Amino acid sequence: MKYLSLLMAVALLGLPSISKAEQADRGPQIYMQSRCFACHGQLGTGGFGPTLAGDRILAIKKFVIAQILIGRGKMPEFGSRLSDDEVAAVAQYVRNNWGNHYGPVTASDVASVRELMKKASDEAAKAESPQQQ
Amino acid sequence: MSGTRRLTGLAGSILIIAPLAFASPAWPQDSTQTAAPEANTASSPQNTTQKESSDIAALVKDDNQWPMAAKDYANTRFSHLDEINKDNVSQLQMAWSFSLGATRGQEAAPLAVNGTVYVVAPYAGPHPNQVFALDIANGDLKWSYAPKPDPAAQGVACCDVVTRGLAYDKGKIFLNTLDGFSVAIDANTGKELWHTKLGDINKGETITMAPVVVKGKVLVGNAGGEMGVRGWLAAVDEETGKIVWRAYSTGPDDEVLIGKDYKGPYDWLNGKDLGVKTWPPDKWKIGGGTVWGWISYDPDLNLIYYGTSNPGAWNHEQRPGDNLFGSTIFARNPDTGMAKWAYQPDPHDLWDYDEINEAVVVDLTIDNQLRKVLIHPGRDGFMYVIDRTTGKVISADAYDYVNSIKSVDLNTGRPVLNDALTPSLGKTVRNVCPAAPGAKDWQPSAWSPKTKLLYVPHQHLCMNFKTSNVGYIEGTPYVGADVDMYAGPGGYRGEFMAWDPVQRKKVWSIKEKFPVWSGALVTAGDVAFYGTMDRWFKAVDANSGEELWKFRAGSGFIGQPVTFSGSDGTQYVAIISGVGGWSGAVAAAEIDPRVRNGALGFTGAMQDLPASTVGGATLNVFALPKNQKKAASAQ
Amino acid sequence: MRPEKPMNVTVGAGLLLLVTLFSAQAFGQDKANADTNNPQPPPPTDSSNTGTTISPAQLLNVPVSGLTPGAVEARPKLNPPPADEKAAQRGMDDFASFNCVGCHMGNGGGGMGPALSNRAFIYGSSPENIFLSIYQGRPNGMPAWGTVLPEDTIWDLVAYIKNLSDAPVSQWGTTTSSTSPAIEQVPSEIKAVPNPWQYTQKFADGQKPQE
Repeated sequence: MKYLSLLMAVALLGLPSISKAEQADRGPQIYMQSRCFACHGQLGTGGFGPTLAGDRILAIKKFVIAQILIGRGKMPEFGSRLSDDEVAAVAQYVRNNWGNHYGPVTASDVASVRELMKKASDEAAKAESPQQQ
Repeated sequence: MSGTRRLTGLAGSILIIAPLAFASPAWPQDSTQTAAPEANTASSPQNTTQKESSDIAALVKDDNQWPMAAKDYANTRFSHLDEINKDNVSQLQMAWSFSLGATRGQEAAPLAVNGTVYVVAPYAGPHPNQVFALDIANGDLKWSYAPKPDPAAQGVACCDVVTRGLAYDKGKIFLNTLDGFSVAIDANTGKELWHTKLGDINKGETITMAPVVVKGKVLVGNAGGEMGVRGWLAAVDEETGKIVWRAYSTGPDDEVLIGKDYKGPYDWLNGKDLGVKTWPPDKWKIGGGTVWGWISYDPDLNLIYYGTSNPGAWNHEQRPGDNLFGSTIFARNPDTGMAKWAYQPDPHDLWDYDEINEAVVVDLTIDNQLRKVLIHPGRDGFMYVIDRTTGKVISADAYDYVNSIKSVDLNTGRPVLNDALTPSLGKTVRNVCPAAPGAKDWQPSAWSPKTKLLYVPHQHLCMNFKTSNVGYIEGTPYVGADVDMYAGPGGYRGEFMAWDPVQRKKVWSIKEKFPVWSGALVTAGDVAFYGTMDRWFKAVDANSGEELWKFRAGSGFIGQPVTFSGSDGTQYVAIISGVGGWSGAVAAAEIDPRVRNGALGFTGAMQDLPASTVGGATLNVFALPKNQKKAASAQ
Repeated sequence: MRPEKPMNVTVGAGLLLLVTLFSAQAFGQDKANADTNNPQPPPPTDSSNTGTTISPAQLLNVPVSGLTPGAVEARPKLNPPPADEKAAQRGMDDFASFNCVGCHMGNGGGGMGPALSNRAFIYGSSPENIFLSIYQGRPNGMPAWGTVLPEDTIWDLVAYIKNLSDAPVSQWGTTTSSTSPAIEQVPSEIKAVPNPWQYTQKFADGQKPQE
């Protein structure tokens, strides 16, 4: 079971985006297979991690995507394990269930956040390097 | 006259031929015996003698039998047998006993049908949930049947791995296994007829209740209110094992089976999809309301009555709203499952007050009017008398010390809560009475139409209660509370009492050291029976409560006493001993008496029980000595 | 529970940048380098160490039974992570977060699942045995938590469970009578600590505990 998310991530990188309907089904699947439920509970009830049901910070799409991609504190990163499609599916799932109604998330949303973070990372690396120009 | 003679000859030859034709039958001699093994022999009666019926609807009226756990559809647990009476019960002695080969809590009621006693053991020992058929007079073992339940079910059973008994109809015994199967067994041979999976242990579901057969349907409900299980009651066709209907306790109307026939007794119980609207989004999916207790039935109104468990989780702050239909009493049509009414004694339950206790069907004269009622000893400590045609509360009075609820408002049917005791996150609320198992839990009371009293076995406990946030992970507990129980005011922890539902008061009371967790039995001989957790089986005068007889058994009692008679008219009283259950788990399972919060807090109140008893199951069957018996009196 | 505050998009974008800058080094970090404060779902395994001190191959050699044929000493010498106070505190939090408390109850007193507060570990009481019981589950109702929890989390739980079972012992067996046990733990709704056997009081015989 634990190999599956990694395998899926590897297999699906570079494939065209999936349909909205498919994405709607994949969200709950990824939530379970990537073990999000272990910390955030099923139905977003929380536990080790914060409660997602009724959490208004989920309104901020880019925040949710970034959180999943790079993790924070005790939450691990999933950017290296999940494709853009998968991140989009699970982000859409948590943002639109259990009382949350915050709208869709697409694979290109995820791609643009990855790009944004790569740019920030590159600039941070440049700022630390000995060369000034 | 020759024509006449010829006719006579013809007629005569017909008369000779005709009997010969009938002498060799065109059908097989004994169709039941020649049937192939897989064929459904269930429809043939258990025996072909004319006097004995195998139909449950007839058996419930025959006092020689004890054909269902609650004795009859009204759930009276009363027998008209009076060979044993208050004058001779002191002579009662063991007739025979049978070891079930299991430890852990023995909650099941023995059944007795047409000369055979049927018992079932809990999930314990090498053959969990084993069923035994025994000869009523000498205890010979006729057959046993061991199902094949999944051992992992032990990990999702909240309150010991118990079963509350079997059911019988038309030559078949019906069994519920802990891991969620309904099974039909040939009552004569012990052969398996069908088995149907109803529950899923990976959802945290188990089945512990005794099934009830109504009009050819086996009624089975699930357990798991502590596991975030969504509760339901299912009807299974007794011949085929196929599910006929399933009524959920939470969710939209079409799944709770609420339709045009439904009318709630108060405004707040009427509305569309209340099983969804009285919850935060999606929380009804893990909302509890399981059906693990008793089901009674009124054949004239054609309504079944049963209650549902606490809503999940125990931490109420995670589920604002009334949480319908947890802690609710339902009236349903048994043919279709459609609800007629629902009444919720504990809206937005705060303290794990399930309302699965029995709803005894009685007609009472109240204020000079004959009323069709249910008497329901509430978990919350209030004795409810409810109009069973509408669900409206006629009276509700505290039958033990209650400080969590001040009163029940009869205009709205809602409890008036003691707000000072409302649990809030991280705060330890002290001295909440009754404790989570209530003033009375599943252990059933008995009603005597002779004395017009209800005989109530129950506990007397209070608790500390501290809530915490809990995440739902399917198959694991969904509770969110630290509980610590202890003896109520006065220091005693149990009571057996007689209650007058018309006068609305206690008539007599016997205090016990431990909770009285056994069921009650009362007979026309004016004797009431109950068992204590420290191994005493007692007979008391039904009018005065005076102790008349007692017997020291091998292990404490949490089972249900029954009575029946053999073919020679001998009256027997039977009960299975074997401590355990939620209250006795500390003595039967691997639970540490030094850690009070164990067993959902019950360890705190029962930590000294292992010094009195440990587990071990025996069916105890009592009768009068042969030279003491009177002839059975005419019915 | 996270406090719920509405945020507007500008603040959100700023937050994103902040998060990005702070985590810039984290982005692309080696996921196999599991910090004990940064638990991961179980990574794909190979035979090399994955950040804990015991490899799966080594764990496979830990016997669950007390019998080894030939009476050969076969228990491997392993180095589990240190079971210090911090590990036990994390383990206590995990014990609640992952619902261990629901079956084993507060302070491991037992309920649906057996007590962890006594010495009766039927599947072995060594740290490795307890680790495996949690990781693999057990047939009579223990779920297989290794499919969900990272190994570091399970080692923290082991540290906490070792504390839970650290009761004062005066004899080899257990006597039960009207005078024994003589002590009980201070209950968890009064005192919730990673080493509950530090706080005991007089056995209350089912009556209200003194405070």
